[in-house]
Amino acid sequence: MDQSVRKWMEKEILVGRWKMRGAELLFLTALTALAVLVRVQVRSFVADDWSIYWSSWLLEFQTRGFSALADDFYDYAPPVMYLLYGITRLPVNAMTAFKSVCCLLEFAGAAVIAGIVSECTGSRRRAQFAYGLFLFLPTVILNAAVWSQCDIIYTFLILCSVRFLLKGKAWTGMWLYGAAFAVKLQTLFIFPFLVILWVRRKVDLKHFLPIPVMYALGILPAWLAGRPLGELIGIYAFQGSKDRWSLSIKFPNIYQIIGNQYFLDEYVGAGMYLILGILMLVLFVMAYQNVRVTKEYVILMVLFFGLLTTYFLPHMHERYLYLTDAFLLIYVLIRPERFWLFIATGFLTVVGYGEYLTKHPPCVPYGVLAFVQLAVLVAIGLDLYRYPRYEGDRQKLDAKEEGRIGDACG
Amino acid sequence: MRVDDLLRGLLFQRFRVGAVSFDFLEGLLAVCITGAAYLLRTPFEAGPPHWPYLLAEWYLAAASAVLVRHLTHSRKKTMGTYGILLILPVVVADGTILRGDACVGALLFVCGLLFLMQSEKPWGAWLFTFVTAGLLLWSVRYVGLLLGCMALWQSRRLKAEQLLLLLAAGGARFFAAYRAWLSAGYTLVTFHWPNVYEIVGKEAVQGQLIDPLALVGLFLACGLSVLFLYLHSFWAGENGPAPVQLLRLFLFCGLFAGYLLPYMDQSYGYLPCVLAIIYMMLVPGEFPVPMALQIVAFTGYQECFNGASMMPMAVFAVLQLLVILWLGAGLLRDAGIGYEVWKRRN
Repeated sequence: MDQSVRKWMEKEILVGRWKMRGAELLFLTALTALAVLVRVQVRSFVADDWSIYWSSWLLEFQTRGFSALADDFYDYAPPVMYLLYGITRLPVNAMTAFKSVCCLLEFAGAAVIAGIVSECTGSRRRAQFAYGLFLFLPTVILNAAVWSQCDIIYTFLILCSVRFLLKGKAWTGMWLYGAAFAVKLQTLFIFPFLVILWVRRKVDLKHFLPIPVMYALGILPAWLAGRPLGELIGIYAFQGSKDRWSLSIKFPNIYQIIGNQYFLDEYVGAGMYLILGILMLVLFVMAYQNVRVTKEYVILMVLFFGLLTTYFLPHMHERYLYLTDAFLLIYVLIRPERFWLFIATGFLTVVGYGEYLTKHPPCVPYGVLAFVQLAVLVAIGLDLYRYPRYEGDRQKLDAKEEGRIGDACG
Repeated sequence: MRVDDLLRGLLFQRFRVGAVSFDFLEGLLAVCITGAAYLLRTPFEAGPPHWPYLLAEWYLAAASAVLVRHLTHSRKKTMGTYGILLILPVVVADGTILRGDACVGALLFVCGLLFLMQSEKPWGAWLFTFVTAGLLLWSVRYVGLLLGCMALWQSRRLKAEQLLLLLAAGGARFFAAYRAWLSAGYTLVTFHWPNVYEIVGKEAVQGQLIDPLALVGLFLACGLSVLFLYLHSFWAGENGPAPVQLLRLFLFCGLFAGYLLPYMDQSYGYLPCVLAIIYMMLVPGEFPVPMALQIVAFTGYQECFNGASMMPMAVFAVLQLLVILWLGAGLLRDAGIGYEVWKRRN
């Protein structure tokens, strides 16, 4: 028996298009089962957001149906509301259904992350590791299964978008990016990387068209239901003006160092213009960088812009590092020597979640966490700045290694 | 030709206006960053930004950019300096929010440095001397520069008559100011400037003839400055410090004096922040210095507007101490003073 089990574990099995060993299949099955189990166990937790906002929105849909979309009781993008409306039509508990949809997307997201890692590194093991690690990230488990949040929706779309952009399929990538934008404004955090891709001839101007088109398609049903077009177009502006009670909502950024309770109105505008200026300077430097746009460089850009914008923009929530957590995971699996960054941010982001869910202030002040976050930002920024040299060195090493192998083979 | 290629080509298209040549992207950045800097100031104003401050800050950014251009011959670094200084939070905080005058001081000193570095002829050093003497007479917050000037004299970059003028100007202002301040009965020893007093305690002693904390701090600053000059005298260079070393010297001296002197306020950090940006453009690897200084100085301004700090100011005082130690170590390296040299010479 022992022999046959060991033999099965070594055997290559075909699962769909993917070939893997029995042991790997077992490992992935166990991971998936555990990830499902933890989500099933925590599904009954009712967060404040659910009891205050989501349940009342659901009630509107239950009583008035699709025509409820005509009113202004919701400040989320309409596509999320269509999902809620769809849930009210199902014969299951609404919260469980909503969490299930998001959790399913988490599994799909983990698979996309594994795909990107596999494409960037060519390593099956790293890809499988990425799949497991994403599913067991504390923030990923807490976000949907516990808190009933839906950050995975736009994150999943962006992951797919980047996957297609890496494959050189610009149209598909940009349609998906447009879809992500139609779901959440936070998609814009990483937008500057597309500008650099345009400068580097990876995308053209016409590829940016899907962004407004997808947004228009996203708001169309709500407009048909009767909500004024002006309100729908400005829904993100309304979202931005909602959290004016603090410059940083449990998010470790610059406002946790300089003070997040003062000059609330003034810093909203100033923070926007400051990050605009910073982005201009960064894009200027990057436009002149003599670099080959590799897959790793694209991942690094997404990660850097995600970290940079959230560090300076006001009104950031603790959940807004969800996307960068996913890309940081991909990056550290491409460059394992940077794994400490992943551990640091994993710890940072979960602190805000902890405070929201337990209603107890964290043991570590947010100011300290903001300094750690700054260190992570600087480390990633330096990696991006030094990338041409790193890439050049690596190419030289590869050439040397090839030469050595060539010599050895005669 | 496709529109995309046309636009991409245009970005890096070289233009020439008179003797100045620039890429379209550089021009675009210059225009856009100036616009962003203008907009950055608008949330703090009821109407458009107060133009004298805006103009002075623009001149400061432009003068610093010229200095960087002169020292590095890099257009990108020049543009970077210009852009960063226009949107630097400390600059906005001092000029737009507090209506402070630190910008004028920084502008004059940057111009002074430009005179000093632009020419080996005596008039450059004399212009620098006059500008710096003016600053020393104007405010005690520039007294750290006097220490730097003494070190420059040691390195034969300034003449004795120039140093005497600077000593007279700085000394007069220093004595007059501290004579008044020590008997003014202030309740605090530092005013929103995260220096050593944020660590040891910033409450002034009341009901006594003297405030021991302030007085000891004052003499400590003087004594350690003399010790610094003594150490600096080991500097073997006959030609004086290179531009990077000169900037490091002024940064160190400025911060070092302000770290120990009592009664300094948040605007003390303005000039070091500006110098640190120029310094970073010369030595990009030293970017943590301006970054840390920006945090330190801006939290001082923040405490000034808000009346409270988000984090204990002692944290920022320690951060500043680390910057000073780092710069000091750099100066010792410049001077070639290591343990071996010390042992050989003593």
